Amino acid sequence: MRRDDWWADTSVDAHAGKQEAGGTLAGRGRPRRRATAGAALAAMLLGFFLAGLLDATALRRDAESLPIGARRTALLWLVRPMTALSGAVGLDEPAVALDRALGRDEDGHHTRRDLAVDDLRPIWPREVTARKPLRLYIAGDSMAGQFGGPLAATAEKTGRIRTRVDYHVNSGLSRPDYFDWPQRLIDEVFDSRAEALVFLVGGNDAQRVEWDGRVLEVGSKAWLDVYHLRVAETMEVATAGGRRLYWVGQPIMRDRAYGERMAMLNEVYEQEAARHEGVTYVDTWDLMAGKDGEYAAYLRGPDGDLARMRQADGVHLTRAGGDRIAARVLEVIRHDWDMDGGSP
Amino acid sequence: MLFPTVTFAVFFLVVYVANWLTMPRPRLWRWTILAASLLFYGWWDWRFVLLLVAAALGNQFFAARLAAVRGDSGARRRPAAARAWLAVAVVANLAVLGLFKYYDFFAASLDDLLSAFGLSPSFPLLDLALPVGISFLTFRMLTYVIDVARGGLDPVPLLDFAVYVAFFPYLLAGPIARAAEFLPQLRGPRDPRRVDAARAFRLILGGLAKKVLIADYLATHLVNGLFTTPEQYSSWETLIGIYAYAVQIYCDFSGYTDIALGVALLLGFELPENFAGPYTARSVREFWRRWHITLSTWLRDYLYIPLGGNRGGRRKTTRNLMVTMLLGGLWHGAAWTYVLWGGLHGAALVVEHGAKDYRRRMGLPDPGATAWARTRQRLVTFNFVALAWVVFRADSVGDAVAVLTRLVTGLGSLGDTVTPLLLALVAFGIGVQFVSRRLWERFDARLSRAGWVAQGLCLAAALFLIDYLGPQGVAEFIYFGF
Repeated sequence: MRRDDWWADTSVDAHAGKQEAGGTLAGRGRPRRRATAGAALAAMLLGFFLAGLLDATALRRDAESLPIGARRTALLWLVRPMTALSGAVGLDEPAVALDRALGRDEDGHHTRRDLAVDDLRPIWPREVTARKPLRLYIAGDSMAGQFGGPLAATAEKTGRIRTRVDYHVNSGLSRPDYFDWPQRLIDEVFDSRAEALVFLVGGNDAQRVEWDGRVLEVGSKAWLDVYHLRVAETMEVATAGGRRLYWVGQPIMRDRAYGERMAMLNEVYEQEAARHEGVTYVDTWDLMAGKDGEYAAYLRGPDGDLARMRQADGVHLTRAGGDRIAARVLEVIRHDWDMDGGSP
Repeated sequence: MLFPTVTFAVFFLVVYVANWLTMPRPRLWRWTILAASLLFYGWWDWRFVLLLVAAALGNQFFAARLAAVRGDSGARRRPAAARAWLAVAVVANLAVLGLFKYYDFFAASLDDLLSAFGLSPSFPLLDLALPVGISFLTFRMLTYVIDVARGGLDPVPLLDFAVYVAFFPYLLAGPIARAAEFLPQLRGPRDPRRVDAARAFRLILGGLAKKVLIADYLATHLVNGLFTTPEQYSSWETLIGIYAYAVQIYCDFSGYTDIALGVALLLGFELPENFAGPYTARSVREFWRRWHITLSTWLRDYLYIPLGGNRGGRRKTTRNLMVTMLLGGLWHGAAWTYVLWGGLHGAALVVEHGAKDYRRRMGLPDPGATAWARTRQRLVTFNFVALAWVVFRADSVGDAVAVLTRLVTGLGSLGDTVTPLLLALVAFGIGVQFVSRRLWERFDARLSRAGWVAQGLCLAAALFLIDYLGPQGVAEFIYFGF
């Protein structure tokens, strides 16, 4: 044993740590048989092909959820025949059987009609107390996850707000075929009996959409019309039954072109919020900008210390960034529910 | 390009065929591997490829200079010119790493410190995109120039060195293969009739299962929530959550390594092992022999021993241990939490060294003499490691304290977050580390004799189940951030 071997310890037991050279059984039992490169390739091709057939439905769903473009078209061109072949030879059956066994085939969706029931009335305004806390549902894409956690933490600390955070990475409103937020809100708001919602999406929405068999380019008038419709539908669902909705806008972005698209979406949110009763638009653009109004990865926190607000991609939030947006949103909620005047 | 994706599967099939077809022509073969590796890395951001190229050219230049001036390898002291060139090479590599990874961290920390004294400095913050795997890349290149300077390695042709720098299976998150153990594998073509396919398939499928079925599940169902809003979790949930993170990071990182080892094996390369049942360790010293082995041995050989190692008495040993572990912590990321995590492990190593010396002086018996004593040692070590992971995982020291505080203040029941499935996955993630290596090798041997059709069927069934049972989408590997 070398004296410098700072963790060397001769008492390693017979468990996994014993290093055996060469990766063979070194005299114990029969050694591994090596394969030819061709046999290994054949095994891989067979494995990938059969796995593709067994999982063809999921592969097709994944391919369809890709942004509309050449990559999606190419993948669908590959996957569609596999789906057909899988169905023809019955290799989609194991997935169907598993769905059934695990209860994944059950359709437990609620409808908008369920949200209209008035057993929660009056939802707003009402006095929020520790005995009768506000039920807040925080939802959206990955950004919502980054500020939703801090918002839930600070809101819960008031003792008068109960939260549920529900975020789905890569989701948005452009592609309901990938993730259907209005339906998700109907289900979750009903099940969680939420009285108020905080919602943030948009980061994944600046992509082409299909509408009436046509592909619409981002930012075109037709695209904006469709996006307005989807935002409006989401707001109507969220505010059904008199619930309050706090729609959080996108913060400033490092990439200028991407930031311009986000600013365009923010305009849509702001306009639709003004048209819908019970919706408050919470602007975060300037909140996350530097003194000069430009993008800044670092900003001073409440304690005056410089803190990194954005992740390395110039889009997503760090914990400090999440805290910053959460504080703004909570301030709006407290004001809206008049929580600053009364005692808990 | 992430390993657990269809894109990588297609990429790998093409590279696999090209690798074995071009292998009889060594120069073309090296170019093929290099091109594939650059494509793999450029998939993230093509600008990163320029960094790889610059790093390869720069270090090859340093190696050539060092070889020219290093003198006799048996000499006690290297010539001054060799020492100077080595210093330049090390500083240049660390400067690139520091610029991309640490500059903003230290500038912001200095700003905070000076602000506390009423000064208002204004350091420019660069906010540079962090090239994936840059810490691993830096350590790989340092092994090359240092080994050349020490005389243990001669410079190799630039193409060979570029393949070593960019080899895609370990490019993003290790293992940190040393130049001396990788470069000889580029010399001769392998026998295409002797591919270690069965072991490779088992490693790849096991790695995928660890990552997709265990690590990602634990992260989304308990760990992420606990570290974001610890106030919402009871003491029991917090404890399970801390254990779950210990399992998550093991399955995430060792899962990546397993896939990297398997992919390399299929191409005919043997990479060093990185894990050997770390949670079976009976001491923190032993833990570091079993966890991220290529990093811990790197730190030992290129930092701890050059600092003086154990030579020079207890005080110097303590200093060397602490410096090594603090820097080892900082290597993981630009945050004080990583430094503190390294410090905790360093302190534990110092205590263990002291206790061992004390036992030896007093003639006390081995504390692990009985089975129960060994179990107790394992429990103590695992709990120390798991609690230290809290500091590693938390966004700030304050957040770590908030999680640890819940262990004693969050009285209450388990709630519905901790499901039987989650508990089973935590138990499995720990228990699987006690499975004897011999058992895995028996499994490999049996699979190797099953023939390609049976192997293909196993692959199909396992890939289907992993994709079906796993969550939609794949989270990045934790160690990509380092």
